[in-house]
Amino acid sequence: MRLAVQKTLKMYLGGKFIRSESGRVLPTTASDGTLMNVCRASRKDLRDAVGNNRSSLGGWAGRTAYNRGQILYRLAEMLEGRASALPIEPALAEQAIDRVVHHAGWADKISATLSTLNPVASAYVNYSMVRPMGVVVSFPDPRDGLLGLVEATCQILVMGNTGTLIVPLDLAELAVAYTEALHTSDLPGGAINVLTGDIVELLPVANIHDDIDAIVVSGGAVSDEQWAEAQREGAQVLRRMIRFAGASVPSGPDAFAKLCEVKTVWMSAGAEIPAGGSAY
Amino acid sequence: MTTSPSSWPRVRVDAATVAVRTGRVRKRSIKKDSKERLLRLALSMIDLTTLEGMDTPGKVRSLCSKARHPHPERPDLPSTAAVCVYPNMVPVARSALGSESPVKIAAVATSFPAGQSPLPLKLDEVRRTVELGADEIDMVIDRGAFLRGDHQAVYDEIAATKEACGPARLKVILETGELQTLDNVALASRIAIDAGGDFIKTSTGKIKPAATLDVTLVMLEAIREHYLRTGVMVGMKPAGGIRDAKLALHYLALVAETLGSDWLDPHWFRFGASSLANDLLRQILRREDGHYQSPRRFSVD
Repeated sequence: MRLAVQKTLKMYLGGKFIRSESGRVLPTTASDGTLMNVCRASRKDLRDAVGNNRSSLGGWAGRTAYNRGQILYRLAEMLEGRASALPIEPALAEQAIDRVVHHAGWADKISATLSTLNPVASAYVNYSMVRPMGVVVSFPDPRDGLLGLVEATCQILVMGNTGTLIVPLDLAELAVAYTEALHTSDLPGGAINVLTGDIVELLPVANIHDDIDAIVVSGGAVSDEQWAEAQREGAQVLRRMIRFAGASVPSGPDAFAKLCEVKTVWMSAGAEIPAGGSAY
Repeated sequence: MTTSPSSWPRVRVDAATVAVRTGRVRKRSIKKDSKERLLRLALSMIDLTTLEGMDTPGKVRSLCSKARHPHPERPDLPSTAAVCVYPNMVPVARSALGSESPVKIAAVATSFPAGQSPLPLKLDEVRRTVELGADEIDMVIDRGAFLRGDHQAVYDEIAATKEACGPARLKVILETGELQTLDNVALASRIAIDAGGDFIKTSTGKIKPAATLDVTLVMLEAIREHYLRTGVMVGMKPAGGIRDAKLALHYLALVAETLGSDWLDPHWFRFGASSLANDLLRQILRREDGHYQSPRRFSVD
């Protein structure tokens, strides 16, 4: 008879697996019946995660869109290899993997889709280009399971943002199995952090943190009252507040447009000015 | 010039015990009220530093205004203790700060950061820098001489520099990152103090590792020993690598534990830092208005 290996499900921050700095854990029973400890993130963990996202932003946003797509594709590869280890039905795992491949394809096309050459009535060329929004904190809908996690991850990463997913404790086993795939997917540390914790406790912490550029909530991850409060706080610092219905429909250009900033450039068209003045 | 002991006894430092003591300081909890007070104190202890080949008068002027008013929206916050610049920038800093400024001007001299120049050149540099208006001189010791065992040469150089400083206070940079062992740090601290240094300082900021809690504790112990023997206080300045408020508070706890609260004063303790100021501001303002501030809300210097 073997001694059962007891598990502590660590969180994923800055490319490392960490315990909560608070030391708080919740003893739970895993899907295979063994006992496991789930880390419960504190407000300091959230601050650390956001600070880490901020310092990782330049590196991730600075990569070519093509490379971001390659890394997302590799995430699909890694999930494929680990599908049997995920505590969910194979069909659900396959659905999530297909979703990652879908987003890997978007990475180097979204910029061309959303950027424009604007019609202006003077001697200028006027472009609008999309740029990453910055640091995003995302609350995926627990009912979407793995699909919700990959959808939230890709919404952040495709545009070159960095961010932190906050996952409720009862989804921790799945979330941690998922971070193993993130960890081996060539994703640079800090592009995506995953914290497990109490949403009711952590959303108010995100609300009063000025260095978060956008908060994304999917489906029923938070209550309507909490969402209203988050919007009130977000308005004070001009934070972008985004709510998606859920993960059943994959994000497309409309969703990505919410997670990017638009930079518009005016360039002289170089038209010759006719001697003696002109109609311009 | 004071007379030197003919040779300095070897000092043995137990690195494991030092690590235990600094480890304990790191875990110490500081009560909310004390924290608020200490954050402001830490801000007032900063030598706001720019020591780059690409320094310009414009950058030094903006550094000076940051030193004077770390966050212009909050004029009640303390100024930093000093600005720390290269000698060429001293006149710029002086004209930016004025002659009555509470913010001191510290300048690095003696062929900072390597210190590999003939002594007369270094002394001349010190004298001229003081003439230009520096209140404090940050010198580097000759680490080469120290490591080859020529402690007397190190002592003589510090003593001569002290004399050249005239009224300016002298900070002696040991560059602990190059001294290899804590035993050496302890010995170099004693030489610097015996030779007349008003402050001992860990690092130039150009070498890694720069300031650490362990090295700082060893230097603080040397200061304490000197104080108990002679009653003379010597200042301490950890420099380099202290970027966040939390670490700054650990340093203050270490000073309070080792030397007592007399040293918790900008006259006796400084942080050589630049980005630390913004993190302190961030923590101070968070306590007051409840929002965890974005670093983007503070000026970049």
